[in-house]
Amino acid sequence: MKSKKKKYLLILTLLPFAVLFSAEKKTKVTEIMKQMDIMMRQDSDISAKVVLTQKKISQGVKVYESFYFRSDKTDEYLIVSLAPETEKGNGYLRVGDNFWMYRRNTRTFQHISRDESIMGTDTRAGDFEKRKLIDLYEPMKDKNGNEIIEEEMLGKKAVYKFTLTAKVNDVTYPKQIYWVQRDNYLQLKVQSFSLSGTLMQTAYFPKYTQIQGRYVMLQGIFVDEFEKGNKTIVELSGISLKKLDPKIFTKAYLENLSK
Amino acid sequence: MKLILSLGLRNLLRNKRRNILLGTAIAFGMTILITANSFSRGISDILLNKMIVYMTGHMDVSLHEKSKHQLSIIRDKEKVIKAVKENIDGVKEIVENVFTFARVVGNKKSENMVLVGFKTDEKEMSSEEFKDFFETKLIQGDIKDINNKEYENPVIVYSDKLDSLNVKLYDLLKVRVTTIYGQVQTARLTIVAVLKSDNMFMSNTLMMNLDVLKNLRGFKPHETGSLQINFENIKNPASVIKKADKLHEILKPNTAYIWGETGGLAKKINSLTMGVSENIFEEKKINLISGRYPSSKEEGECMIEKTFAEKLKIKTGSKIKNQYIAKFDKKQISNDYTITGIFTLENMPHQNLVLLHENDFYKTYFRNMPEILSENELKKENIFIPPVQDTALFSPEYKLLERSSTTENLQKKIRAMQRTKWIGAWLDVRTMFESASAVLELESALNLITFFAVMILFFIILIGVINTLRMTIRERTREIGTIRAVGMQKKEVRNLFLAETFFLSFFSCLFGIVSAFILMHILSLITIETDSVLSMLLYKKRLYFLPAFGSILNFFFLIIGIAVMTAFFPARRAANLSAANALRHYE
Repeated sequence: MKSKKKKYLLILTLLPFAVLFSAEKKTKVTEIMKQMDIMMRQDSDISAKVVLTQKKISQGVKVYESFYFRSDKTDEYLIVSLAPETEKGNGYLRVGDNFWMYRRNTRTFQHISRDESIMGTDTRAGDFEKRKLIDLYEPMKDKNGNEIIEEEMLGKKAVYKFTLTAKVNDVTYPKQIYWVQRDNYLQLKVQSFSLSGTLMQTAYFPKYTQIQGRYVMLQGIFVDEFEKGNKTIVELSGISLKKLDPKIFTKAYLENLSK
Repeated sequence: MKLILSLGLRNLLRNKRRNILLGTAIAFGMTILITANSFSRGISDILLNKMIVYMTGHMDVSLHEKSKHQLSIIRDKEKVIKAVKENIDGVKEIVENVFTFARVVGNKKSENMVLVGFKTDEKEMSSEEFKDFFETKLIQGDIKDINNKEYENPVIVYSDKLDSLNVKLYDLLKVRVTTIYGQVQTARLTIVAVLKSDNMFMSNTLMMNLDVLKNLRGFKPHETGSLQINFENIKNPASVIKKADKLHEILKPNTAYIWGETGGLAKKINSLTMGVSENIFEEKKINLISGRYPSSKEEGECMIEKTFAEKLKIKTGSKIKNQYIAKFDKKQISNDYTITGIFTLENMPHQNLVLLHENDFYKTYFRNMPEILSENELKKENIFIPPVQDTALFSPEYKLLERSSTTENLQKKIRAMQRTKWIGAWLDVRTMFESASAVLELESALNLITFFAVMILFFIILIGVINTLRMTIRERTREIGTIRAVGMQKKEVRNLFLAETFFLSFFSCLFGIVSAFILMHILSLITIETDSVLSMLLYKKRLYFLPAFGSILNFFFLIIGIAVMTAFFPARRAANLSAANALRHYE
């Protein structure tokens, strides 16, 4: 009888902690998502050279080089293509909600939609939209409504693994699984799934650098799981966080740059 | 006159060889004219009534949401179909236009292709056109398997793609598409039939059940991409423009509203919810008593009318639940809003009024369309829905894009639409003149080329007629002198020559018509195997002729008329010869 009482006492004593523990677990993925949004937010301007190596079974290897300027504060973006020769001088300019494509040969700007390809790659105009992860996705929950999160090792790094499902219907992937580094919330691996649940892409982010106290991705590897054998590697170099002249984000500047 | 006609007929038989040669030339001209015209009409028929029907339809009605992102979706397709059926005549069919670009993976090979949805119900599959299209091209499999549930998402492919995707009949294909909202979607498709490719444009399509494709793309049963309207055989393409203008007028939008109930802390009360644009707030057309207008950047904000707020015992900052029944699935839709402001308004559409920023309003309005009340229900609930005007306060169901006359105008208006920040829908009524102008230009060019080629040929033949007549008159000058000497009048001599020409051209034309039909029949028996662009101009791999009785009759009278007119001057010259001079004539 005494031991039973002790048991109940123990349960009653531990119950608040259990509730606290589950409450902490319940909010954890959401908190990680918020942290990731903070990590992704670019307070200062940024410019960098981007090399995109696209390997496709049917087309072989293609290398695209471009220079990009970005100002998140004013939601402006400019990309000018450096290679291959067929794309050289072409560019993309985004100011607020407007996204234009510039063709050097015809010297014309054309409004493009979010589904259009950038420089003939698999990157879409919509990928440049500044939208928070927390506004687009929500954590997958168990039967009791608790957010599902696992702690595991990805190589030698301790990570959180969790699944997000889209809460809006205009995101490319309705479901994503994230592996996020535990100590700094950097995403190391992301698996993206189609609406019917097929694994479409696995992205790896093995290299980051710290500039002025902020983490900036140096390399991203995107493996196409739908068409096996296709792979895209994105590499950033010459990164600068210096304030950019507002003139950069104008059609005139892109035209001059392309000459 | 009888004598003139009888002499004319008899004279025809006198110079048999020459007249047979001249008659053959006229008959040949007539044959070419009818054959070329029928071929040109056949091409027009292929382009207008067969090709455009599959490409863009004669007329197309579409709705585009979110201006810049151009989400093309008709949420309430039956409403548009009803408007077309009740107001536009000559409609042959209204087709749901649902297609998408897809990445198709076969056996270690992949291609970018187009998935096209088509109706596969019994009525459709037993139609002559369906049989014409599919059964004549079928090489392997069974078209009926498109509805066979044993196969996973059955599709029909063109034979060229078996090689390029490295697959065979009943193999599975993997496809990646994007839904209408931009999400990635995948599916497995089973090849149940293989068609012989007619041309390179068609061979890049994969055909599947419309409902399966709609589901794959994220359409609900009451939604569709756009509606293509095809008319009974189009003879005058321009008639479609008038019909499109009429439909454009009929489809003028009404003010959008949601009739439901709103609950505050105390109770739920029937309420009218409407959308208001940013401009209305900026122009302060609504009398704000407390708080602020709902923001375009924040979701879930609303403002509420003063007396309604008092009834609900709520104030600025309170939360309300706004509920209504969705029109199609009859589900109860529930939205939570925070009140940012209390307002008063003259000429209220209803005493219990909730206003949302239109960005928020359209989100729920489009996703779960509300029921539209009948006139009686509106009266009963004491609701007055103001009409859509430029000065209107409330957001419309959609905005109408102006009608455009050319592809260039169409592109201009689409660009202008994309520049706006309007999140609502734009309705566009367009015809093949805007959306398939290249095909129509091709048709006009072909007609023009045919016309000029025939005219040149005919001009050569007419020169022959004139020359022959001149020679005839010259040879028969002494005869003219004789008949003038025995008392035939000038006018009768002229009419005699004209009668001869009339009979010659009359019989030649009749012969030409018969020859044209024989020639067209022979030509249309030849099968032409080509995958080039020219295959577009063939029907079932054969030349296609479409003779028209009216045109043949016109050509018949035109040629006789031209021949008689051409003969008039030499005949008059012959008639004007003096009897004495004519008798003295010697060669």
